Amino acid sequence: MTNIAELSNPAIAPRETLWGELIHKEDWWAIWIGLGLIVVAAALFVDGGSLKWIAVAPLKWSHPAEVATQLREHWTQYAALLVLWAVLFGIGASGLRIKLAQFLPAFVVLYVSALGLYFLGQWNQASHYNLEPPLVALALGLLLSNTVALPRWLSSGLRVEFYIKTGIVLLGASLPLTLIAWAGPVAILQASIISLVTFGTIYYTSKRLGLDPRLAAVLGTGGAVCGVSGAIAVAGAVGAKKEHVSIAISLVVLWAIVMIFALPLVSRELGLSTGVAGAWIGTSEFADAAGLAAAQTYGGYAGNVPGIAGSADAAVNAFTLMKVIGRDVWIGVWAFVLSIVAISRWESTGVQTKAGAGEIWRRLPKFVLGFLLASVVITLVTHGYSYADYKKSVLPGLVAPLQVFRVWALTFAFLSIGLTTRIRDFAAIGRRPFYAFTVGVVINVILGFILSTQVFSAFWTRLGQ
Amino acid sequence: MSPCEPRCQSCRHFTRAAAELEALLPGLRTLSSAYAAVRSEDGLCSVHDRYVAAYSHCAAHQRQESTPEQPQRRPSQRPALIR
Repeated sequence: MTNIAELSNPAIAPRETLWGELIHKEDWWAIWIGLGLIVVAAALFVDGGSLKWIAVAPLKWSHPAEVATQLREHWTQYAALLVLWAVLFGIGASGLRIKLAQFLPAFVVLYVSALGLYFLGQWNQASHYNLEPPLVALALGLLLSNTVALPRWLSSGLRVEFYIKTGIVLLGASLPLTLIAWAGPVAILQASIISLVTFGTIYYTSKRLGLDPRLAAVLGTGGAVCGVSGAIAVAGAVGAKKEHVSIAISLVVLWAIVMIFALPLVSRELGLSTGVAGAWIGTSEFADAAGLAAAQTYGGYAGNVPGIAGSADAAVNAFTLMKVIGRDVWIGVWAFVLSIVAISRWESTGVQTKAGAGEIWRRLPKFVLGFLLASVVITLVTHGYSYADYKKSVLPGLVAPLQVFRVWALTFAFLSIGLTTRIRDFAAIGRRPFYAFTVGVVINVILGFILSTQVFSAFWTRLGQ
Repeated sequence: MSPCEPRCQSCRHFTRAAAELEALLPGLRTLSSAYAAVRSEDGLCSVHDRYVAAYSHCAAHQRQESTPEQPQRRPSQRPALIR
């Protein structure tokens, strides 16, 4: 959109350059870190080596003494992993202009907490007592952040989106390109149905309740496309009021947290397979981090809870296909279309803006590119291996270490969600926005359930197998 | 939009530094982030009290002296404790 006249005007500051975008946005840092780990792992694998020494994770245990033994035997690996993560995320944080002096101590606390949580999840009675790590992380974080005065420096290390995006890029290494190509169109179809219906419901209800069309659009996108990220993308594109953004943030966070607990619980009661439940969560959760917490929780039931069919990874895979491929990538399109509507149909705000197709690229959640590239790299490296060889050498030597890295990154994110959710900070929502959004939530959950368990049930069940 | 209109990104009333936006919009960082690509270069306009794109403009534009991404210190909004 920048033209010669604008560049020659000294009163106009330059826009973020491409280089600035690459080092000042966490999407790109998630790609550098996630894809960097994948490329190094692939190079080592091709050369006969592996990252599995440093990709350390707790093993199943039944008595606390076993935890002590594991820590004693593997403490150098855990220390090395801490250094690796601290260096990688520290460089990223530095690029984002977050003070390292605050970030690094906070990250050490986060890592140690994640280690404790990881061990808890490996307890052989964890499922029996519903101690799923994502739910425990969230509950514990919520309790602490809303009852105890946490030191300010700790907040520097609680970067939910940074960790979740890195985890999603790493997840690409577990999904072959052929699977994405096979499942992607169905995910896009299902997600498109749910997005259009949910947006229409929230927007129409908001208008019926007399709300500002910009607030209606922000709420609609928050509920239908990508939670808070969708809401702020559209808010900027249409020039929404600051309070509109605050209301959308509060509503999305509130309902997303409810869904983290509710969707796995209901799915478990109904005995849904992991693939089907993952698709439902991907359709009806609002944010990537919240949805991955719910999906990973449900994946943890596979093999531990009687009656839950499908593999443990199927829930996370189905969720990611539905949410990332089906919904997230369309944020820019929604912002572009709604910016045109705002300019042509809605009352002027006193701020002049314009709509351009460049909006689609500018607001694209770039970490999705990293997710797809990760899949391409792994598909190329593993091309030509038989299934037996894949199980024997590729899985333990290449894919499994990357899966361990992914679980660590996601655990950092789950802990950060609870620790950054302070209910007293929520904006006053107001009844009408609450009703409008909640109607959309109800329709979304019901329709998502029907699509996942009835219309496309066979497809998602097959994915889980 | 006239090509010579100074845009919000160079206005002293426009806040787009990520850390400041997260402080001004509590809860933003819980399930999203001001460092996210989807935010593009949007920010808060203190004149219109709106969240606007950096390429927008209005009659109240006043050029700022500092660089657009440079955070302006607001000590009163930086408590020692999170709560």
